[in-house]
Amino acid sequence: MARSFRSSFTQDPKPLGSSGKFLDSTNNTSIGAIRSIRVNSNGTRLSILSDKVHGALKIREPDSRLHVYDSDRDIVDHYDFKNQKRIPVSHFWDPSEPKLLSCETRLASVSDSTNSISSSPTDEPSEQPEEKTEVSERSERVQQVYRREYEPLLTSSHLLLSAQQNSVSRVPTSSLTTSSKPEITTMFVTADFGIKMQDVFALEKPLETLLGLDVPRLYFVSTSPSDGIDSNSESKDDDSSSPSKLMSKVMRDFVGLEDVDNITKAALLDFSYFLTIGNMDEAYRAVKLIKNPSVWENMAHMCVKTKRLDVAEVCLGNMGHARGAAAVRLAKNEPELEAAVGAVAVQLGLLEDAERLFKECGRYDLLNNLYQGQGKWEEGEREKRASLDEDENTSQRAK
Amino acid sequence: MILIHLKCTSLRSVQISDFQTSARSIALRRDTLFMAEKNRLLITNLHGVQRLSVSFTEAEGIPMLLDLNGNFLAITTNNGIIKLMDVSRKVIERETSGNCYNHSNTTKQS
Repeated sequence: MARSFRSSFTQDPKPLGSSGKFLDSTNNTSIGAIRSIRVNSNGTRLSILSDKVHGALKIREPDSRLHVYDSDRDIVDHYDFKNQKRIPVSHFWDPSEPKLLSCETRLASVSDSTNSISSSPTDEPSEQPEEKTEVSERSERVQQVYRREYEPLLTSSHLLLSAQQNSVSRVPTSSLTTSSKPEITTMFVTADFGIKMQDVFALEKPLETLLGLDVPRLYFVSTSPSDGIDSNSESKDDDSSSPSKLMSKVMRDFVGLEDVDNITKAALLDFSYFLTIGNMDEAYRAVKLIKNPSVWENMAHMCVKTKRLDVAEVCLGNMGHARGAAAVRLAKNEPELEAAVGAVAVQLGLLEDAERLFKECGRYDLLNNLYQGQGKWEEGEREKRASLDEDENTSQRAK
Repeated sequence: MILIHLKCTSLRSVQISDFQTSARSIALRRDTLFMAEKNRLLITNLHGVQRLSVSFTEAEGIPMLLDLNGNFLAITTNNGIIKLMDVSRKVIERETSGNCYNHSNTTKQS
């Protein structure tokens, strides 16, 4: 006899601790009008997008800050996009990692502010009649694609709501995508180190908007037919009828390791977290048991950014990159740290980083070699002349 | 406002329900809807039939926005109050019809 059970919701929801307030911790004033909220996977943090409210007319202006309310400490933390002249438009937590948050930002402009005001919840009813069809059509299209690969990740209902929210808050944005230069920022929210950026990259066509994340991938809605952003663009048969598609992109630090088991995934998350907070030693400890060259390559890339030659040497050794390891040993003889790190960068194929590093330490001879190696004779000549001019200038000044 | 639910069944979407609601914000977890309506949090099934209602006091304000991630529900009110709730408490009850949950086509063994 087969027995089937279903669990159903019959009990009271249990409040977690006392309720918090959306107040500035320094002066106890309201931070603004809340536009959108997202809760993390263990119910300890809540990310908030808000509008600043001005004057008697209550004009709403989008806040350039992403707020995160921490229920353990009862404090609101901030991450400000003001320096990049950007405002956050959407935000998502990882469904299993309570620290990991992703956020889509757009360039702050007049059109952007009207957009976010019109998407405030109070205006929703007026938008509904024309929204409804769009929502259903859109989620239908998205889910057709979604069903094939992502069903294990989220529930269908989950998708429905996301699709609904996206089309509600994004009615005007399709016209903005070209001008507002969307960017995706992923970050770790921590009690000890605040909100730390893990990665930032520009959202390029055909990707239109962020739909969520589930380590190791970020999920996007794309509009136009796709060619090769990632291996997961699919459903050729849908091309003619569906302008909206679901696409994914592997997060940095996870490249080459997207299909690993949960233990490895957890180790990689720790790895990514420690890299983000700048603790290379812990990051190394987190992944030293993983037998996969990709993780070492990712870490070696990070070493170039953080100029950790000692860790880079270990990474290259573990990658089985004999030529690279030899190059590092030779490069260690260089007096400048940057020159040695630059040599590692060349071995890893990070030529732009290498250029930058050689320029940084004034080793134009190495830079010139690099350009010649790439067959960029003209640039090599230009650099040579520039460095000669510089030498002349300095010698003249010395006189 | 009209709600349409779509269910993934072999690449097709099926409308589950369609009902009127004045909710400001809605979150969905499995077969339960959470709605911020008037001064309360309304918990219903997918057809809008009320299962539970949690009232908010005047000091707490009116619930405006909801978000749900796994077992946790967050609510913010117009007074800037943030509430976090665990909604995972559940009871296991035997389904009377005897259908296999999610596998209606599987054959029963006796």
